[in-house]
Amino acid sequence: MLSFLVKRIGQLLFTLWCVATLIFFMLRVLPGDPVEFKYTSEGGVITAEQLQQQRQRFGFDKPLVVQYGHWIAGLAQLELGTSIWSENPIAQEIGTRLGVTVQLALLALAFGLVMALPPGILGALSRGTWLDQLIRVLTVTGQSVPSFWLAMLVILAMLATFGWIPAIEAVSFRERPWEYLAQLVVPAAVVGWRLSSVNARLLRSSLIEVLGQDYVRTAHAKGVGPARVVWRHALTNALLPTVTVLGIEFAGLLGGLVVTEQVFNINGIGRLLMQAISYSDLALLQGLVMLFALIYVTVGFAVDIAHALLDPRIRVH
Amino acid sequence: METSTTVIAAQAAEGVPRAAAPSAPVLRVRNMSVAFTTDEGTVTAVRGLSYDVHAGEVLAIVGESGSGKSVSSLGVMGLLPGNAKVTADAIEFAGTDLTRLSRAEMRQLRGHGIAMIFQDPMTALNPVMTVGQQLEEPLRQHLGMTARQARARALELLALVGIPDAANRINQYPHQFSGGMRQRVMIAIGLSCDPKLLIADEPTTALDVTIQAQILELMQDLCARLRVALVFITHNLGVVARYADRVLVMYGGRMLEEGRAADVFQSPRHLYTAGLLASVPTLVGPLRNRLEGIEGTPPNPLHLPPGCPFAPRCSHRIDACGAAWQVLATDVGSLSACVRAPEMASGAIAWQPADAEGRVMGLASRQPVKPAAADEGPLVRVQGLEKTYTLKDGFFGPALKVKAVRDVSLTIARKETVGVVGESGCGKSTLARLLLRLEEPTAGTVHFRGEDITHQGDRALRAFRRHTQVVFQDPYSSLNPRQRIGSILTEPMLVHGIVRDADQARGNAQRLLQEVGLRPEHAERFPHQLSGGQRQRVAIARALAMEPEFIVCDEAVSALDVSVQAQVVNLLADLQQEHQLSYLFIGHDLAVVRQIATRVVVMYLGRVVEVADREAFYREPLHPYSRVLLAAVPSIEQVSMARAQEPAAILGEPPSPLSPPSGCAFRTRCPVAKAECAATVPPLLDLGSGRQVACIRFH
Repeated sequence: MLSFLVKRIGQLLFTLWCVATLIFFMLRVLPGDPVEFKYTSEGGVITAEQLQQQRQRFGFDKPLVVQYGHWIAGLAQLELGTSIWSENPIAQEIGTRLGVTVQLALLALAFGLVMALPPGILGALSRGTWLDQLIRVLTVTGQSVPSFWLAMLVILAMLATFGWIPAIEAVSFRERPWEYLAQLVVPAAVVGWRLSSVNARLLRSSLIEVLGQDYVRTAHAKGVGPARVVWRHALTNALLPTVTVLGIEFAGLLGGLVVTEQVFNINGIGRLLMQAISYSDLALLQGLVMLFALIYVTVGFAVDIAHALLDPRIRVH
Repeated sequence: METSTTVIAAQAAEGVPRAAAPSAPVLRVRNMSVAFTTDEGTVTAVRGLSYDVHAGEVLAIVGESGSGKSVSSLGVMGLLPGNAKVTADAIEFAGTDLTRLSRAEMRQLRGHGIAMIFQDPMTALNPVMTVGQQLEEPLRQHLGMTARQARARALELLALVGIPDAANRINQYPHQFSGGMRQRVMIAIGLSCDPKLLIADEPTTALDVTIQAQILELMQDLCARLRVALVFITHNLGVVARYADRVLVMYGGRMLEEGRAADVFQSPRHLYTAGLLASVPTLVGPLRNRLEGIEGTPPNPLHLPPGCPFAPRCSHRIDACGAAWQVLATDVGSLSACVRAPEMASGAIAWQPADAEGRVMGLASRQPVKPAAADEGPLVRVQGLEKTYTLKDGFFGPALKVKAVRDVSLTIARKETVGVVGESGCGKSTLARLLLRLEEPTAGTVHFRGEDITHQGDRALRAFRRHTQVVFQDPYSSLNPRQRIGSILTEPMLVHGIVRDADQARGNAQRLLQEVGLRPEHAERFPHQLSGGQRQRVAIARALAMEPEFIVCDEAVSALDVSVQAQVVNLLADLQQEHQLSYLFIGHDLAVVRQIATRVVVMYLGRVVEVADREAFYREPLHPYSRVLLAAVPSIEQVSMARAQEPAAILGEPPSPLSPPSGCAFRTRCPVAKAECAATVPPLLDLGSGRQVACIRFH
């Protein structure tokens, strides 16, 4: 297990370095000067001299290789630099917003798994019947509906039926906990629903495959009850591929949140990313991409660990 | 066990009064049928099956694939899928009619009163549960044991089925057990709740002969001691002969013959049984030139013929075969459904294969297959061949070396067939791949027609590839499912430029199909439209398309049914004569190897331990491993042997090739090992007349 961990962490660091290099040079290829943009975008005027000064301040005057060296050296010390637009440390910009996004993502992930179980299991057990067909239609629909659009529909529906929507302005958990939760639950359910549709279809097919396995027949031959056959013998095996996909989906989930946060006016990482793009804030963009990459590879790592825990065959080898 | 002389008709509902039966049967099946509803129509898998099993008795249900033998037992267990419909006048278990039980009551019985063991121990255990959890489950469910009681009983059971170090192994997962050990765990699960009846569905088909012998001995011994009635389903007639008290022969969903194993095997009273017995190669007795097998293939269960399902393949069919269906008692006390049973009893008719179609099915040419003479120098000469695989245990783990083939030297003459035998993992398939240079040897050389092919470049290798071909074990996965048979055959001819154009290739393909006993129209079919035997014929035709001199048959007949296996063995022999072929025949069935190979090479853990001519080898194997291997093979002659004549004990399982024992690798399992055996690896000693043995006792 130890050598497995060391090996995976090595791979993880290598991946991160590749991402850091790629994003650095890709952003530098983009047209436009972020510093100039900062001072001229809202109708400001800046002289060439001042611009040169500002560029010096942000380090854009140095050769590309030197800038790259700074960037990588900074990363190695967990130093992301400062935002060009707000001139706050990027770590601080991210830190204040990360909490809410992570809460939202985890909640959505939980919805995505829990809401997938009933349709997935029912579909597999009633294979080929009208119920299975109905579930299939619902899950395909769920997969095809973009979550931001669904989010808007949900907001409109809530307004139409209850005349109420979760608070648009930021609420603190300590002061008004229920409102805070209501603010998170609706977007999480919206994003999680789409995720659960993908998972339900996957769970259905892997459960059907597992139910046809010899060891399930052995369980029946032992006289094990049907409920225990499904939950204990089949589901533990059928969840393996679902857990893998859940990890891969998690990254896509962050992408989905970028737009959903806009719709529900949640001040999270997604909104920060939108702002960084619209302000051409290269430094902030780099930092955010590194954050996404870190989350992505860490989740992959966690999925591997979860797999090893669920599947003894991986653990031993 | 006496069989009744009362006449029964299987269609009739009445049971057979068993005059001398000491007790009521544990299982009494009367007129059972199983039908599946499928898209193509109703498939009747079992028709009018009736039989009894008594406590302490071993009943073998034998048949080829599709005969309904597994389906009938799954039907008794209530384990068939939803589209199956079981009807029966009675399925009585210990006096209870199973057809009247609710699903919940049936579930109470499964694993408690009736237990079942399945074919493939690799897949029959849940990979994410420990062996202990799986073993304790029925104990807690059926016997209401506490966790502690169940654990104690599970440990006892593991010890009972011969799993060493049970206290540690109980917490391990199935993948940490070998195939044989897993099957022992399955037996422990089956016996856990003291069942009255144990049904074993091909319990040893996936195992090596040595392990098979251990598992069957164990099952037989435990069932006799615990007075459990044992039904085992098998296609292996040798296993039936050695272990069964009674045998029930099924074909096309029907019971054709039933009786005491000795009676049925010595005096078969159904022509199918007689044909099946003639299809099986033997280990002792005179060597037959050909296997007098059965033509054709088993019937399509969608279109079963009326009357006797075997009639279309029977060489003695008469009009009456297609009409009435009745099971009658015979002169030897067995029951037979053959209308010509009285004539078989009087000796008026005996089994002989049909030879209507000439040699098309590979049976007609009756001239003996001459073992080829090694006059013009060897075709293949192997010297000091080695193959070492390096495995990595983790990223920084140590590199593990597996010596799959170690210092192997042998020759294969033109027109000769060399059989290679040994347990799985002994390196026989690796050796074959090295001979074909499908893998690069670590050391040593292979000469083909006097040329060293181990160091040849691509161009020369291409020419070599033309002269050597291979037929693999599994005809289901070795043919491309998306290619028509015709294109499978023509592709290699065109690639190697054997033919001028596509037209000539097609012509050749048609000729090849006929040569292997298929029809020209088969060229238009896809592999999945053919039976297993037909596919293996295609694989052989593809090999022949290259006009090779040397063909490696890697377990080429192992996956085929007994009657079809005989056809293919005969076909290989015919083709050898016609095309002057040399074969390297890798097999685990020593009786089949005896039928086809003129020389036998025995391998153990990568090394050759004995080389001998066929006659000498089967008359008196010299290496202790060869003896053990031969003793482990159940053979149909053994039905006449006294049960007291126990086969030689085969100790344990092969050691891991990662850490082979020092000195002679076989010493850890050898019945005659001495202290010196651990010191040095015994060299392969030439004893003259082509015989070589690697054992210290001959030095």
